Amino acid sequence: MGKRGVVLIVTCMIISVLLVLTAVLFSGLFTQKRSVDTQKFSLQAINLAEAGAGHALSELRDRIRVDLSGRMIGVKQSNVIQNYANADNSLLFLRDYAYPDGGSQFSVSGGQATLTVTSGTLNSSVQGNYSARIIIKADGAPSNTSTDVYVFPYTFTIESQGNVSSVNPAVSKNIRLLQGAFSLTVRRDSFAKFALFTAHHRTPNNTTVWFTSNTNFNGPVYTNETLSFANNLSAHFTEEVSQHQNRARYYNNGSTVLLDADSNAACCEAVGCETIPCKDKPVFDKGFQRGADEINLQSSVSQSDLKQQALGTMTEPGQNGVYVANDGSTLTGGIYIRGDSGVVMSVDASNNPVYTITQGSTTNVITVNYGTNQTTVTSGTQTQTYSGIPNGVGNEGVLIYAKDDITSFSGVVQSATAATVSSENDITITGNVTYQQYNAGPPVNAEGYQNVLGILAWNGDVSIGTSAPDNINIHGIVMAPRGVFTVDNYNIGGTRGVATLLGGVITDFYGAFGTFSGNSNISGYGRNFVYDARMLQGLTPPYFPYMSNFTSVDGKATSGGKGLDNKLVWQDEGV
Amino acid sequence: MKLKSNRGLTLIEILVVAVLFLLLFGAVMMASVGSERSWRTGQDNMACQQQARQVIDEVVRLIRQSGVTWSSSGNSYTTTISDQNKRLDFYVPEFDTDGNISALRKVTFKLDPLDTSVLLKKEGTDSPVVVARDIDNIYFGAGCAGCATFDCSVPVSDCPIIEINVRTSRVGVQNREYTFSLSSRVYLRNQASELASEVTLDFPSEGEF
Repeated sequence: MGKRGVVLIVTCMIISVLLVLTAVLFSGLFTQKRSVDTQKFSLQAINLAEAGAGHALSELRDRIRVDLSGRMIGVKQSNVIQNYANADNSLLFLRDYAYPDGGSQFSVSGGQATLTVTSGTLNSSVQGNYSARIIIKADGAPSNTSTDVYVFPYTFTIESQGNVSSVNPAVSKNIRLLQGAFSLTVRRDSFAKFALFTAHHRTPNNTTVWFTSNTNFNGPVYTNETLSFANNLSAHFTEEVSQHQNRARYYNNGSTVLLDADSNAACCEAVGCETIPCKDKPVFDKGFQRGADEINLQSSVSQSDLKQQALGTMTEPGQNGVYVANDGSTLTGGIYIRGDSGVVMSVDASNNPVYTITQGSTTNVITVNYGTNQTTVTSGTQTQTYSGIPNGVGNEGVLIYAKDDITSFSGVVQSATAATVSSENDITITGNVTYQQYNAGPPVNAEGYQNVLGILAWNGDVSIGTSAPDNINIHGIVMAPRGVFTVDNYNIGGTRGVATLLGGVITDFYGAFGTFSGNSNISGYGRNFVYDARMLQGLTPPYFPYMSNFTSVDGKATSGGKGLDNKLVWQDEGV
Repeated sequence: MKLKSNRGLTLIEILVVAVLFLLLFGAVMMASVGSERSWRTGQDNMACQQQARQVIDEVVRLIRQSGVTWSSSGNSYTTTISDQNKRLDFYVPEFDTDGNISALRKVTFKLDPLDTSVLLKKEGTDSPVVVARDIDNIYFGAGCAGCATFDCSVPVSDCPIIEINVRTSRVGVQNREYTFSLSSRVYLRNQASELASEVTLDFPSEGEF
């Protein structure tokens, strides 16, 4: 009996020891779990809040760059925008235009426009949600910087809350993105934005121009007629492609067909018919719109407008010559040329842009000094210095306006120069025309640089002359609203290599550059047209023709120095 | 029931009972001491872990708000790691009610030179405070592209990440040593921020900390 008592006591002791050990174990486990859970849920809540802020920022960008920009296309009358600017209604302008079809609009009250985005409830590995609010304020009054150009400055903040609901009580964290600032420049849409624009997508003698795998565009492409595609692989387009006609032309192995489709209908990618190859299949990264509104190539910036910008206060001269509009001491317009001329752009040892304009035996040298804001004009033995720059009445940039042909054009566009060289008739390029600052690539580009050039032949052609070098380089936006961009004698002689264009082409017809047998160049130049993507960001040569509709470009705010793509200041908690 | 005998207990019986009682008591005491030791072991372990978590929590909470470099009036204020990767200096913004940065405050984490098992934090001109004790080793490293081993002294601007490794240790009962290691990587949220000229700077005097 005594032995049984001992066993009982020993058993009790063992149990008590085990209980203590178990308690220690579980106590440690629970403490650790609580500690880890606290960290985990806090981190999840912060991450949810950051996701909300990212969603809100993305929504804001879409509303500005897609919705508002898209709605601007429908605005034709300048008083529509002018009314918002004159009434200092920047926030109402956002509310009325920055929303998707069927989507909610910004709510405007108390001097701010707000919009809330939410996640709904997440039921993945994280159970929770977020709610983020975009708060936009006007950063001063809108300005009307020049005709039909309005700038709306804004500041914005994003407040976001992340909630983890899988724990009781729910864990919430707040963050804020602060000091956002951007401006919206609303202006008439420029033709310069096109990588390729044709009123008639064929050569002047009605030859069809086929887009093949040798044709790649990384900018917008548009025609008022019908685009034509051949082969599989065919052309690749990274920006939007549109045409006025409802049906596109497909090569179809030589039996041309017109189809309202993104590829030749014979191709099939549906399940069960993968083996049927596409006959003609271009690649459209941003879609192919058929039946788009016709765009009148005749801009509301008329030839006479541009002439007036060049003439300034000067009456139109009746004699041939080179005229730099001035009032005796100060320049009042641009450079006006009467009579055929040759124009060479260059940069002197002091990095000043120099324009050498030759007419017969007379040479005129115009040197612009941006540092002193002076322009020196040398004609023969006479030299005169004026205050100001020959940048037209609107001060948009250097403007050369020729009443007659520019028979030879070449040179270098100085790094700080935006210029447009315009002729009422033909412009013949006889040498390389390059930006002083650009990246050789490939692909060649001028990202981050200011130099930009427009080459504009109002009633004639822009052509590459017979004396131009092989493998010519042309940096600039070429426009010939009643003509073509072509190569003189393109079908005579041997191959001249490749013509590389950094810019865009806006013409009435599609000009020929050479003759080919298959992919082999027989005469003239092969094309290497590289779009200047700066045009998509709103850059345009000075006084370049624009379309009837408005467009909007977001950029740096006037005071904040930031744009929608800039990093915002991040604030944890505290809200 | 009839008793076998009514005589008392013999000395032998008493001694046996006493020995048995002592044995049982000893066993109970040993079990109790063992349990207490286990409890203290658990406590030491948890304290170790707790100290490590405090370090990570505090450093992550603050440095998350920092950036690679802040610029103000031509001066740059950069997140730096020094003292053989045991000292971290960075700058966090302070905000006014309108959400504008009103001040830039320097934050420093470093080991106490008088007791290297103590991690100190100094914010602006405030007095240093103890973040955690029992630090056996701490390591701050910047890294990412071009510095994948996280041994750089300044974060890179295209992916500004700071790695924090901390190991705590504590000598417990019977001189037994408990250690716990924890590490975390933090993305600096504020990058390349230019400050307005009116922003005040809240720094300790040179060499103060």
